[in-house]
Amino acid sequence: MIKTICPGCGLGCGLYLEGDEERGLKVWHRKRAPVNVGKLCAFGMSLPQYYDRERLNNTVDGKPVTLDEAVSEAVRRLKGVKPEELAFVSVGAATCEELASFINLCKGLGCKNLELGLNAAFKTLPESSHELLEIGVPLADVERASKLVLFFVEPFLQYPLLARRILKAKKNGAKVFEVAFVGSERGIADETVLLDATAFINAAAEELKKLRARKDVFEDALVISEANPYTDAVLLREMFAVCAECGATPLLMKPFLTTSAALLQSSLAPETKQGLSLLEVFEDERVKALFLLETDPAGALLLNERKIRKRLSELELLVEQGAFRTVASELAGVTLASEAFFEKRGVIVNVEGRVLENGGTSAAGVEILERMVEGVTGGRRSFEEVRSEVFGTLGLGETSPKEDDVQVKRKETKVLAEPEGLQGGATAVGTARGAEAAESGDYLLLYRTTPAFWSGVFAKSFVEISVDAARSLKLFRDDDVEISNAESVTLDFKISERLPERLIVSETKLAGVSERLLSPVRLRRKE
Amino acid sequence: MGTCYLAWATDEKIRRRAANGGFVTAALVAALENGLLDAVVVVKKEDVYEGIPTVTSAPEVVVESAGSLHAVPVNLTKFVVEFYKDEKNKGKKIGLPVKPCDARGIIEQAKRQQLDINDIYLVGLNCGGTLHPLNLREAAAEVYGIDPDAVVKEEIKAGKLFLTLQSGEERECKIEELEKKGYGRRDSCKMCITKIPTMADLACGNWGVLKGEEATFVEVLTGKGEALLKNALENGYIKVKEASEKSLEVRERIKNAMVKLAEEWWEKLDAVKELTRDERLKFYVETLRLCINCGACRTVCPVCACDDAAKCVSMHDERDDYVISMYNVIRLLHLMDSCIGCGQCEDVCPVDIPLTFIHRRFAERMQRKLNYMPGMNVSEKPPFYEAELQWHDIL
Repeated sequence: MIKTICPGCGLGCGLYLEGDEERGLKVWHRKRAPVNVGKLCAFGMSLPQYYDRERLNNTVDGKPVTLDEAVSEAVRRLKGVKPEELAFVSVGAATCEELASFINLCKGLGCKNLELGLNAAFKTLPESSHELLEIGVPLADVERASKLVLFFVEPFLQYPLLARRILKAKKNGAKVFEVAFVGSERGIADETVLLDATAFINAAAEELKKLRARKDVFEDALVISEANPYTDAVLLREMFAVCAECGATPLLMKPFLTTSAALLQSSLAPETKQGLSLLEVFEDERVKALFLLETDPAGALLLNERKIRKRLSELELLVEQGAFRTVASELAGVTLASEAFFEKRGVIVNVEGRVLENGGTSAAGVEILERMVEGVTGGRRSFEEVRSEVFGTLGLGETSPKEDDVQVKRKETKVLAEPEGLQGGATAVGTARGAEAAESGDYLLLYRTTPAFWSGVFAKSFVEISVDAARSLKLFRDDDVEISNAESVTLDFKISERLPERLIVSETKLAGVSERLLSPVRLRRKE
Repeated sequence: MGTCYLAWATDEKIRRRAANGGFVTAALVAALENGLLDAVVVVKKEDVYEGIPTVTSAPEVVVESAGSLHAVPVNLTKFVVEFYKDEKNKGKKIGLPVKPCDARGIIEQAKRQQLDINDIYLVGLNCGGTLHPLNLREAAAEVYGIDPDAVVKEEIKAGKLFLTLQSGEERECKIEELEKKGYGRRDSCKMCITKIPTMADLACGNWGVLKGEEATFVEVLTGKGEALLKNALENGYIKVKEASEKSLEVRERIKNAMVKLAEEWWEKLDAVKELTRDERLKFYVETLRLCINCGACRTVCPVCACDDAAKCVSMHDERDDYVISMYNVIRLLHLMDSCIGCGQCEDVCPVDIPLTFIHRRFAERMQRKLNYMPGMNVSEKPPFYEAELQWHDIL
């Protein structure tokens, strides 16, 4: 049995995986794991399917080659690209050691565009708040909190292993508020502060200002929210502004296991925090070459595969290093095969600052990257040397990671400076482009981002619609609905009594229909 | 009642390493070395708080794994089922030390044709209960006032939990005291009345071992149990003497005290006993609505042998808006005759639904009505299963 960590989100739940490619993998619960006491959500339980994907091979221009040839060719081609035209992206399941080598390679090539999942948020918030983005608070603090605010986050569906902590807090007497477009299905909150999705999409700042009238909600609260590459900039700024005003403590959950890699980015390559965000990398035509590490663009982006393929095929160079084939693999000039996350040796830092050792034995990912570093800079480090750099950066010194302790802590828990520039309509962070305005009569499609949503596997095959919508469209149980925007998609539906009339909630990406977390769409009964 | 002995290992190393004279370890080593068993399932100890079930044919690994691990509530039933799923293991004779709930789970899986009970030698261990590893760590720090990482050994004796430190120093606390402070055994164990594994091939433990004796009290319950004991004895791995009347009396007295305590705990943990019918329904609705459909409780359930075509899965649709999902309703019905109260479901529930209590609340009354206790006898089919067979026969 391999002692490993679930790559589904930033919580870093511990488990055992047993088996091999022939027999398949089996999950065993690791009750000793301090983050999750052996418990796993639906995604964690489905890890055997998540890992049961086609493996990536070493190729150059689609042809099988040896690893040596792939490494040499990747180095040769990367060296031929102007640094300002190059971007390095990793928002998947890489270890801190791999990321340290990745950063080293990026710097060696003189590249400033390094995106590890938080660049958009870094650019949205003042420098003094960056640490609050990088690292959360001990999850035990959630249980001990006297007041919690769930700020546009649905813990039961997005972070179930956090939900049990919130339930414990309630049992201990905490008051729980939620700020949302729709109240939680499981009624976890004592009070729901509902905001209007249509008003938000047209004038987010105005709608969010209503929260200023509810200081009683935020005062001295622990405010739990999420920072993902599509988190609305105005919403994020307002959350930090309200926290600053009310002395509240923010806890930003992260959808990717490696998002705490931002800690490494801040220390090892702080200049890259102002580099292109994930969305910008895929929108900015100045980017001519891309290196993806353990990242499936179809998982991390809300763009449909056709658009992703088109963009990737326009690149002059695409290098992909990872365990599994992705939408990028067939378009990549060079692919470098590494091990699956559960097979990796290395550490990750979870959302609360716990340094967790993954129990795999392979250092292949680090070795590939270090060989490339050698090809670029002439210097090459061993796994142990890279690990030593990681431990030094995390402030561990020579001490080993202790999973029972939260070893990486924030210096400040509160927001020191109120972010500026709170204005305009909804916009994904880091992009200049605002959201499409909503007109009366439009429905609004709201994505609920779960680990299955981002991984793109075993997501739900239905959307939730309101009772009023079902009535007005005269829907019966066996009917399907069609949701359309630029493109349309047909799927099953569930009627939810909680939903406002014109809101649709989806836990699965509707490719081509919406490229944002909240978008105007049309809804009709499929004939 | 089977024949009862006091038995101990002849090998001093085993006696030193294992608990209570080392009979269990010596019997399993003897069975491996003399061809009675092909392999033994042991829980390989990482530390006091963690162990990994492992199949081994190496006697030295069995010896290394000797000793109690009360804070490692592993799911041995499903581990054994997985072992036999592998074609190359079919027909292999294995032996393993089991708690009563492990033995009951394995017997239920045998009833459901997931394994052949004739291949498995169940060395039952008396069980007063297990602890959650992280709960024990917290208790070590908060109650014993010691560094949890400094604990190298734990043992339960005479109602007390002993923790031994690296320095050799031993600290103790009454389990009753621990439980008053919110630590101690898992809720399922507090409520469990099956303390002596009479459904196994052998029932072993220290209840009935008198002061000054370093031995295991062994009750031989089946032919397989007799073969294990005889093999170890005839090949010189153990020594035995017949259990005295006094030993038998002490063992019975301890068992009765433990059962009484469990019944008292059931009263304390019964969250609905004073509620009206409507209030009880409200409790079940509000508790089960937290379910996030992860399916973990079914996966670990030691009496469930269904595949993905199981009714609880196939008749459940996340689009339904029932106050209690079909998944949970069907699991409640299925477990009414079969739940053994092991607590594995609750251990893995990501939103802490008190599943052990809920299933026991339904199962306890139904099993009493049916005069049926699951996991006690492989030839007794589950009553609901039996009914299905009869209907099938009629058709």
